Amino acid sequence: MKRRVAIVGAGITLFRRRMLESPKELSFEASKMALDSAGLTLKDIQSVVSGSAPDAFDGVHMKGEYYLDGMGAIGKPHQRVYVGGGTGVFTPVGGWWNVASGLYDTCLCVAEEKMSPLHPHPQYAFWSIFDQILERPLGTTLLWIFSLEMRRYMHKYGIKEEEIAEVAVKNKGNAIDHPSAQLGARISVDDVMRSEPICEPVKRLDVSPPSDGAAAVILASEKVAKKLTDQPVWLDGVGWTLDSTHWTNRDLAYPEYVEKAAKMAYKMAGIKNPRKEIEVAEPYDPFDYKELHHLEGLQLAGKGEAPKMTVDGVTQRDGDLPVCPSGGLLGVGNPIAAAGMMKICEIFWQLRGEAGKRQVKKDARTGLAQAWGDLMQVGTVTVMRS
Amino acid sequence: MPILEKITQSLQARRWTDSIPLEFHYTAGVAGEEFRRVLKDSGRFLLSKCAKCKTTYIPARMFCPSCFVEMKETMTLDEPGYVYSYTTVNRNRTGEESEAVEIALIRFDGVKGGIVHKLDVSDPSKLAFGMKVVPILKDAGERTGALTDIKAFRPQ
Amino acid sequence: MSQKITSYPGHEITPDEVKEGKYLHVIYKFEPRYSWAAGVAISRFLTELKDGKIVARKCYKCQRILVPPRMYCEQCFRPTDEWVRIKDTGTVNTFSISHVGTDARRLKTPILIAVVDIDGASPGMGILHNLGEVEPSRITIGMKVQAVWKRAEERQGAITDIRYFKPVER
Repeated sequence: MKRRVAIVGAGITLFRRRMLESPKELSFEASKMALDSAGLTLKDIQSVVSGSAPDAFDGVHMKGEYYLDGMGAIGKPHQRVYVGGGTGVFTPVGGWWNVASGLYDTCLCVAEEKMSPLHPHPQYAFWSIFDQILERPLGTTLLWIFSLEMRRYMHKYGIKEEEIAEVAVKNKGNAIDHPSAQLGARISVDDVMRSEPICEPVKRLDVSPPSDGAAAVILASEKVAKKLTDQPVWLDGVGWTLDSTHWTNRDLAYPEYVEKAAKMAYKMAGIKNPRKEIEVAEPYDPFDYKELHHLEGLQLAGKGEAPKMTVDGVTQRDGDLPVCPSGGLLGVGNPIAAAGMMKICEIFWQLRGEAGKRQVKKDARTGLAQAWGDLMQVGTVTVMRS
Repeated sequence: MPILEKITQSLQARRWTDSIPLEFHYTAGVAGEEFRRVLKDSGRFLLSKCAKCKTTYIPARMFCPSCFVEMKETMTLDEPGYVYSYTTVNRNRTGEESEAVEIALIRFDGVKGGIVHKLDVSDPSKLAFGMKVVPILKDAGERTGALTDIKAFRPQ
Repeated sequence: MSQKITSYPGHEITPDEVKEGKYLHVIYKFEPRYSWAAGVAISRFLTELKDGKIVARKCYKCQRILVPPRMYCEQCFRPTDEWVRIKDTGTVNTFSISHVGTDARRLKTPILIAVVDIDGASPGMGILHNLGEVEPSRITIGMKVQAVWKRAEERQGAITDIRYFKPVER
């Protein structure tokens, strides 16, 4: 029997290129902050769901079992969910299963990532997700798939690099107001265009950085949530869909799996017209073009139309559909799993009017957070209402 | 329905060999850093105490996993440890025979946690549960903060 | 709550500080080695590559010709039916010019990469490979390309038996 689930607290650490904290300590800091914000202690938590991306980053095999003391999960039912970059939004989905099913009344959902131990560069861990026989021998790097996808997207709809660069300018600017942000800065389209090419058409300022960080939310059943707060944020829709790793056989200009995940979440939340009903959105933006790509997959923009929305200012904080008011991955940082959770925290704070300087102008009551990942194959979506 | 064709001659079955080289530079964390500094500088163990449940932990930790609060109080250990359990290992990591080494899980009275390390016992027949042991430290100049700053534990 | 909290937890350090020894660190290297079974489909694919040919697999239900070949059609969720030899020419679906290597260090010579839709396979059936013998600025989506193979005696049954794809002369 499905029950209504609410988010009642959130916590987040700083996101930085390298943090002194160990994985357990990072998890503790985010979890403690979330508990304090909800007025709860560890005794009130009945189950824990954690999300973290490849073990290869932290450098501890089976790291779900390693960091769980920092999430208060000793002696508790704990699941680790993992879908690459989609993990951060998939973590509260896992928590939703725990609470909506009636199994538990409270669930602590924590996403942690420590990318700094991997030497010489965290990007190296991604190399092993490619096909070992047909792709790795060519010297693949993660940047290849992004640049190939970006090129195809630009080609199909006639989009210019300058239009895409507007997203980097917006998000890095928004991030200045986020207390955890790693790369908040005022830059211009020109700065982006002149930054060095990494894997054309991707340039340095089009990309989010590797980071260490953790974020957490607390989920509660309707009964418990109403006792804890008069401002619960309801997790009304969840959706997730995967595609295959045969990414070279796919139409790279459109993320169909994101559309399917979004439709699943919209159906559950009773959303018929996403563009009108979603009032604030946090799509996944590891690269600037990805925000546009995902807005279209999420049905928040017509195919090929997201760039115009950005250039016209519709997606600014004072626009009709504010997108990434937090500053996104481009500005706040990209500790893979924690980044998606950062977006969940942001929508939580936005819908309660607690986002401070980042608060969007319109009175937003329905928000969406989305993440994406693996070998360009997963879409995870949540719809939240206050 | 299973796939329609299988490989019938072993020569047709191909394989691909490769490796995934990885290099990690681990730092010890906020509490771990302090623990290692104390070991390096003074050759002693740093403990943490939870103000709520009064449990002391070795090695020092940032938070108490039971009470889920930050532990701010630390102290160094002065007493010897005792052998909680021990074993003799004569195989290396890849399973080949190697020189026999005694290792033990060493615990400390009134403290939660323990340290796994080598035992330096001239007469292995004297090894016993509960035997009191103390660390044999490297010279201060050679210590780096790693647990290998201790060469082994020996009977007190 | 986010505006009520004044300080967010975490202690930042920099990679340089770690390198300089300001924070104690341990270096650990390991290199797991693998011998992966290619499986039924890819074993045949590699054997054909050694022979200088590209082979695909056909599903009779959806009529798609799939490359890289697979023994089951993931859309119809049934076994595929027939091997089909396809051409070694194709069209550039998308491409990029990479200036960094697998370890994120800058390369002296950029690598040219593309997804090439192979002629004879179903539309959109691409494989990942390199491009060569072409000026980066002249690569376009839709460009017709041709595989350049290693000499027969150098071929081992690997994706690298094709050195790269080059533009077809018109």
